[in-house]
Amino acid sequence: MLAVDNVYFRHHHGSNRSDDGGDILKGVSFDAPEGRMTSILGPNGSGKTTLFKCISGLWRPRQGRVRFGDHDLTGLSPSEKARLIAVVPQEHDPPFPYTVFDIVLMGRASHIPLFSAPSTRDLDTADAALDRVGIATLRNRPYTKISGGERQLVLIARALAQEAPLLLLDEPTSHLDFRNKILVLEKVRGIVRQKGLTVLMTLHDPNLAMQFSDHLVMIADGSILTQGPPAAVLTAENMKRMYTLDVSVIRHNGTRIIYPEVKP
Amino acid sequence: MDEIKPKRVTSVLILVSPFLVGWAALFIGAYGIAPLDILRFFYEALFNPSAPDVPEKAILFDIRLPRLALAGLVGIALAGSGVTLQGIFRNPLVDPFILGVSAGAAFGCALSVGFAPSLPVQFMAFAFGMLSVVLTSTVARTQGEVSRLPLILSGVVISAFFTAMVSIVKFLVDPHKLQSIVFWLMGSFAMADWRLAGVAALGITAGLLPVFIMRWRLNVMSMGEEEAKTLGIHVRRERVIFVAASTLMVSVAVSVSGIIGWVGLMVPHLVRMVAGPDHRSLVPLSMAGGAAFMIFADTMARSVSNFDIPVGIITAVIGAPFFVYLMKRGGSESWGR
Repeated sequence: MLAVDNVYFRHHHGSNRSDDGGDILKGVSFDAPEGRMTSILGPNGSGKTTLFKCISGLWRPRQGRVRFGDHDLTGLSPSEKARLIAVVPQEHDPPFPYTVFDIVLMGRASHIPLFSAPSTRDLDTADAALDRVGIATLRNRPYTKISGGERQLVLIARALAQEAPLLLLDEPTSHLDFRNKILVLEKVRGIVRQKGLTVLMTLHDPNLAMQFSDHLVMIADGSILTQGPPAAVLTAENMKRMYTLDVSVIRHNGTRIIYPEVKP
Repeated sequence: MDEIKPKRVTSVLILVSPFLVGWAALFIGAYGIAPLDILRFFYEALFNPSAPDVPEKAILFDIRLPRLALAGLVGIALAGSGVTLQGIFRNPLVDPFILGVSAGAAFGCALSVGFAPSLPVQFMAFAFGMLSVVLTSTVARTQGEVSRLPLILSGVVISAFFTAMVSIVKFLVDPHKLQSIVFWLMGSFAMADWRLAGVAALGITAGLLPVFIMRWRLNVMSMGEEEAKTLGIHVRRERVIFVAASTLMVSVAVSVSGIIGWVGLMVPHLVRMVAGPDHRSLVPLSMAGGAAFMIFADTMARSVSNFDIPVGIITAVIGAPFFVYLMKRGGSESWGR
């Protein structure tokens, strides 16, 4: 279980990003249950990205702890941390046209000693990850010349090659079209269920969050609004509190659909 | 399809190119030596030391061979550090010359030659080479990441600064020393002998080894600081190793042959085009390509006219148009962000 306990974060003074030096995270606490998909939902600027950076260890919280199982994540070295947490960034443009396989192999960095090259075991693990995500045919293509959905899958394969029990996905669907969103999330869910991984992801679309998460955390203005099973959390009132927007919920075939009330 | 296939033949060709070019370089020159005689001299040197000494032999073993070795080593150093710096700064348009490392190292050398002959030239070159690369990347750093255009601009600034400092040294030293500084700064292998080649071999190998051993990690480093960190790389520590190692190579190269620009930019680029960006093969192939190119340029330098033209002029004449070509071709790709 990932346990985030009373995390405060603010930028150091003098940093270009600090506006008033106030806390961006104001005592965030929540749990992401083991072997489940947990989604974080929140408006732009609510602190989702900051929270992710605090969990993955890129930024150090001013106060509070992040624990995963028996490990306190705040004090680990980068390679120790990378063996526990695999971060899937949003698809991006690397400066050089690496092949898909080169990219996936990078997931092995935390397992390869400083003065060594990848071993055959590392190469095999990378190939197995490509297979698992179902993109073995892309193996020798340049990462720079495949579609956005394919790139996202490559980054997921890289995270699998990392063999970490906790997966952090930063808005994995934000650059994807209607179909690819579903495709990517279904794939993630399949893998998570098979391997018993713990997933924490940020999403923008409440309907996707409803369909693809076991646990849901709502964050607004650096604080947790509420958390729990999606059906209990995604109510019209909560959505209205979070986005200050009128929202309706329709029930359909046992699920619910959330849509904004837009005046015609 | 854009499948990338392993390019074995190309890779082997690049790896043997220094020997092919080197072979040609040995019999080209003011004093002609027949290609087959070279084989005979090598045979005699190895297995028949009592064979008669002829002038050709002295030219081969005391002039051309050390010069060839020095040019090859400097080519390895410049291309090796170019490919390393391009990787860690995730910027295909940088090399030690553009980042100001060469100018910093040159200032260290000039200082040592002019005022502190008791200190080893290589030590001063390394100290000021490190200072300049740290200055360049500090000036370019905004919001925790080093972006592409600011890096090149601050390289230009730091380079100009240290070039001016070299000018001050030139202004202050006595004319006798001035002449040697000026000639050496233009970049040349004319002073090559076995002692210089030995110094270069030692220093350049020391810088080359860590880069060579850790070269796969350059792939990960080139994905950017944050991503490399989440993948488990101790970014700050490893960047120091890579920058120090490549600065050492460049400083030693500058101390034995002056400022030779553009090699570190061009060679990794060309190799990447034909053999792909994976640093596992890119680093050794760039080093081999750098050696071959440097030997080729030096052979041109000493044979196109009656004079021994500084080789830095040859590389600049080839390199400047190449840089323009890269700029035009890869516009957004190379200058983005």
